Amino acid sequence: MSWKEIENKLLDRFAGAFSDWDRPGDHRIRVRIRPDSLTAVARFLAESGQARFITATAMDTLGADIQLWYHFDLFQTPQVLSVLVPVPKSDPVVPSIAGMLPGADAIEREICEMFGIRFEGHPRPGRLLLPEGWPRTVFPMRKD
Amino acid sequence: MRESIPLDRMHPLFRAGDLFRLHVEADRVASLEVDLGTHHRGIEKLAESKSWDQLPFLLERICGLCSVSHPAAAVRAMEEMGGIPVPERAQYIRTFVCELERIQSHLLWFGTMGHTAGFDGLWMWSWRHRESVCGIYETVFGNRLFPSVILPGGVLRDVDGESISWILEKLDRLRPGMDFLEEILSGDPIFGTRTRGIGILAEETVLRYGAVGPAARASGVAVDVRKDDPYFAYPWVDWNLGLRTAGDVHANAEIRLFEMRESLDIVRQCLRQMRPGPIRTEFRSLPPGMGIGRMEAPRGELFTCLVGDGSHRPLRVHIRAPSMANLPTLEQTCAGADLDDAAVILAAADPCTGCAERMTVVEDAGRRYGILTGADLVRRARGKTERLREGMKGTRSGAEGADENG
Repeated sequence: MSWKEIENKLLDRFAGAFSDWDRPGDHRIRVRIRPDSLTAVARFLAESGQARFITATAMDTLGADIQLWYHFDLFQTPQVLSVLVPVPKSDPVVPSIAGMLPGADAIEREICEMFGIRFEGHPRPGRLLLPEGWPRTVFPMRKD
Repeated sequence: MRESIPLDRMHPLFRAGDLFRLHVEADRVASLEVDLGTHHRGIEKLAESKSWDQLPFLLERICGLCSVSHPAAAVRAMEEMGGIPVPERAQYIRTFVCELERIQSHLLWFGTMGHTAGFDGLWMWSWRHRESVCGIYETVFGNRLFPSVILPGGVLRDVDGESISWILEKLDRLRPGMDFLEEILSGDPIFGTRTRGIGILAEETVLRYGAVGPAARASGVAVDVRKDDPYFAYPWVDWNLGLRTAGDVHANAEIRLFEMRESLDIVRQCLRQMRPGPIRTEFRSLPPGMGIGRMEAPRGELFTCLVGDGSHRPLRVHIRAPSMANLPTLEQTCAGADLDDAAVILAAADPCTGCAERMTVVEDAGRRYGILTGADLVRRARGKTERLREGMKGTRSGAEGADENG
């Protein structure tokens, strides 16, 4: 399956879930997604056998949401698909994808302790980098 | 009676602070846990306080082995954000420094893996040749480990004609080192026994875990950013992507040797193809937005995501080093392994040697082992090689005796 075919299938299957489909360069695709569709999209990409989960990047841009980007690579192409899930600071919960993609295990735990986002359904929730005695309500990478 | 000496993970003896916890049943590794965090230095947070042109110098300090890849990935992200053109000569200089980094890192791998498995000759000779590469860094760029040469828009220093001839001569002297490694890989039966069929990483596991770099390529997955998303001068030089399918420690050694030979070739091509010209494009600021920089570091894809708000410094710096993608696969490669092979498998996964020094073995029932340190595990691995050597000597002397009798 080519990248174009995957893109078309994604748009067909999850048309309602995506918004702001953007191509900032030849090799980059950025799209915003509803949090409830994240697991289904990640599963589709993983099962296509053509895409690889790279990592997730969380960032606090001082707004009401924490921006959570999931980056996927398509094998043997220069494309990186970055999927944005805005996570409200008032209720920072998103579904975990670590159960189906073990590569997401560590980064979800890191984001949880650094930004205070809770990943629902994570197989091994717990501390990754911070010491055991670190206060549970202090998130070092948050800017507020 | 065995005594355990509690050595904190921040002990100055250890070069890195990862902790592997192996659960063992009847001399077999039942499961493994990786415990990270001791080495966490908050560099991503610190990076938010640096200006764009200071950033490469900070990121260079993340790792002494990938001291070129980290700034290189960051400048790729910055150049993507700002659409900064890079002069051709700078791209060639960047490429050859990246490939020198790959050679020295792979030679270090042969050393740590060789030492762990009881091949001290392999360790000493590969590190001796690694010193030649560090010598090139030092002579040309002024530092053994941190060349500080890659900057957004180009490179910091040019390489003159005299240095180019000197580097080419130095590279020729590395050829016997590669032949020596080839000899061990293909001709040493004990090395073969200690590495073949050990720590097999299946292709399916690579795909499921998203493993990268030589570990993925040794398992038949052709993933390499230099081919997939070509950058710097890679599109202008000829080189081949190595691929093996066995996925064991031996395949990892083969792929690294192959890559070093290709790297030597790439460096030679870069030095010969470089034409005089500017080495840097000046830039004043970066527009707001996100930039992604990908690099094929020695251990695999290094991914850097930068976000700026139009000011002189980043709003967010996120780095996914290749080891973060590869370490989780150890859960699979170590499961079921002989305890005597565990240290070899962990060393072959290419974390820092310090990681091997930090292993703790916990037995589930009976407390037969007590607590073993990393050094104990390495001792066991080396002991197995010694026993194989002794066995071979016995066979040889037996065979010689039989010949004489015959």
